[in-house]
Amino acid sequence: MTDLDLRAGQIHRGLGVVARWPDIALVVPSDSAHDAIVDQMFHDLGPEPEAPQLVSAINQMLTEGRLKSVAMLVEATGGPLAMAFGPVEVLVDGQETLDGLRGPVRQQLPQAAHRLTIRAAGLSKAAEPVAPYDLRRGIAPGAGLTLIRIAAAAPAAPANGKPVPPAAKAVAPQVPTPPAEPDRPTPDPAEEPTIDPERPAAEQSPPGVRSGRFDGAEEPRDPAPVPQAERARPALDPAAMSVPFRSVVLLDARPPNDVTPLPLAEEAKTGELSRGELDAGRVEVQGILCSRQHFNNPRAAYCMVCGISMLHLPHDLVTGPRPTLGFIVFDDGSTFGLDRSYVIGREPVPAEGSNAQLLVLSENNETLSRTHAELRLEDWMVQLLDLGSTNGTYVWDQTFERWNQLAPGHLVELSSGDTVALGRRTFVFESVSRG
Amino acid sequence: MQQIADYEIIQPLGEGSQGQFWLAKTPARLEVPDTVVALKTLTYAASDADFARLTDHLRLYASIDSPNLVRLYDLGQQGSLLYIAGEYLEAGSLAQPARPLSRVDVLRSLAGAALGAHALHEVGIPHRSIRPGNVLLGEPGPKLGDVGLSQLLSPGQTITGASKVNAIEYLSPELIQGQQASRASDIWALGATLHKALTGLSLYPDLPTDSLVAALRHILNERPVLGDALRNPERRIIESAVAADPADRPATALSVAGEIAAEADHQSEKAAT
Repeated sequence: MTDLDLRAGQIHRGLGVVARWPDIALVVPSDSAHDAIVDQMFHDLGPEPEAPQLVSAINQMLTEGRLKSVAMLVEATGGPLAMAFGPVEVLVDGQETLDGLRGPVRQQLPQAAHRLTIRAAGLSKAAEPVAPYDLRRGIAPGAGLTLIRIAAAAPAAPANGKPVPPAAKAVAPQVPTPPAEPDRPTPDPAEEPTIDPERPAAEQSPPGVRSGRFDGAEEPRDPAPVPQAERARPALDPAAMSVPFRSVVLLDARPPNDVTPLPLAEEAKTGELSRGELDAGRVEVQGILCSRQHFNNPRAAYCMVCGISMLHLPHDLVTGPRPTLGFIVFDDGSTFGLDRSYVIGREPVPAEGSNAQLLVLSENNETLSRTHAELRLEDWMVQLLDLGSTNGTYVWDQTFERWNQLAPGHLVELSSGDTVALGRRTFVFESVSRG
Repeated sequence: MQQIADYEIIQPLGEGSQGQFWLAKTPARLEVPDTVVALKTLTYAASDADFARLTDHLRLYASIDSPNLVRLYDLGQQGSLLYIAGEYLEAGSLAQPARPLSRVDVLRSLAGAALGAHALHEVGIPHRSIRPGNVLLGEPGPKLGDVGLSQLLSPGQTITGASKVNAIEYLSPELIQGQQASRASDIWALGATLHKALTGLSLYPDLPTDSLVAALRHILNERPVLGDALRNPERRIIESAVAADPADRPATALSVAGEIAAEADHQSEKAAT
């Protein structure tokens, strides 16, 4: 009997997979990009995986980048170990303790904790009512799992006096301590009586059941042979179990021989900017010079650098490196400069021969295609192209107040201030040409 | 015990330009005298190629021998979390100093930050996120911290989604327009940081706060407004650093550092007499 195993398991509804065995519980939120991989992993693990094998399989997949998110609770000496990677969270008695996106990613939890929750991050309140079943062993659909310490009276003393192996029947235990209203599926953690941290953990455990660590000895109160799965499992040493990481120590770094300083402003202005990541994609265009020699779009009325009027200048075309054409601001505030073309999507793949930058957007509702659209710079124009996305690419039409869908393969020139929708993500294009 | 890789977390230190900062115990494998480090974490599912690029970049950064740059110790990846461990400075930053700063203290800290920026520029790295929170008040001198990584992880990105609107006044107009970061764009940020530290005011008093697009348009269409509480030499330094045309700003951060240090010396001499 382990601490984790002394708990009832309530499933949070939602997309994903929850799994539980005597000394481990985990949640993998759904992401169609890797659902098949997760299915395969659980298949390979078999019906009764041991925690160390399971942890090492998961670590391996995290390291290789095949598994993108998981929240886990593992039995360990001194209290369950919690781990969180990706958009998942771990809550102890309703308090967020680990956040897989921000860190820390691993922590030993207090054994006395009443409710331990592992779940997908950002679950709405609608997902909160937990299913009224008690998951003890196995794999089920769900976006989260709350393990609740069972009431003291629950498993130990049946009427006939014979102990019943705790996992023999999937009978819903009376949860939690003290009894909550069973028809209230979302107990407010703040209202729940808390476990007294001053009391030793053993006192708060069901009588007759040893609490916490399992040291490898046979169950003393049950001399009968027990099935393999019920036999003692040694608790993991928290120090021995860590999620693998790679690291590069920077202390011995020596300056390389071929250091190139940043150009001085004068060099940059005269087009001497011959270094940097953009060189391969540098494009020359025909433009005009303002009276202070800044290179501009021939259609612009004012210089994009100094703001000076160019209306009365002779429009002599000169050739120069194309400056930025503007920028795009996404709905989350992330902003990208249009000094290059972009291929945008969840996991975009470049078109053959294209030197467009890949722009990875995150989106939870699968309305964005892997490779969704391209923003292409052509001469002084910013063009938008749908790359055969599932849900289409739209530009807001201010005059008719409607979204216009782009025909796949059809280039559309964007104007400053245009709003573009890719699935549920949107961005605004701002040109830097003035006038 | 909270842990990231082999770092034991002591407490959170706050938000950085792209991630979180934590105070953590130094693992034994790092042979540094510090018992604690500042650990920056950011969520990014880095590929091997990404990690190699980060390694090259941060090795170059770490190889710079400047007393005005925060020392970096360790770069790592655990799952989808990247982390960078570096020196922890207890005296806080210009945004949150541990003790009240005199005007001369503020000037000296900016002079130090400008020297740090110059050392970066000389090996080809623009800092990209100079602002009060990244000017760290160390002993014996100030240091520039938290080098921007967004260009490495997401090329072309000028503002990360997590940025606060009030952080954009440190971005030069040409950077917002989408030009490459440069000496001149860091010099703008030094000027905006000095202005904020001396006056407590934004360069854009009327900056819209409800919409990022509106705020960016505002910066591109309006000129900075300098606060009244500046002394003339301070005003001159800031005005030239935030000139609209990058070519009109001082050519190097070194010269900015020299001007600010000279003004600091001048003010402290005056105070002594």
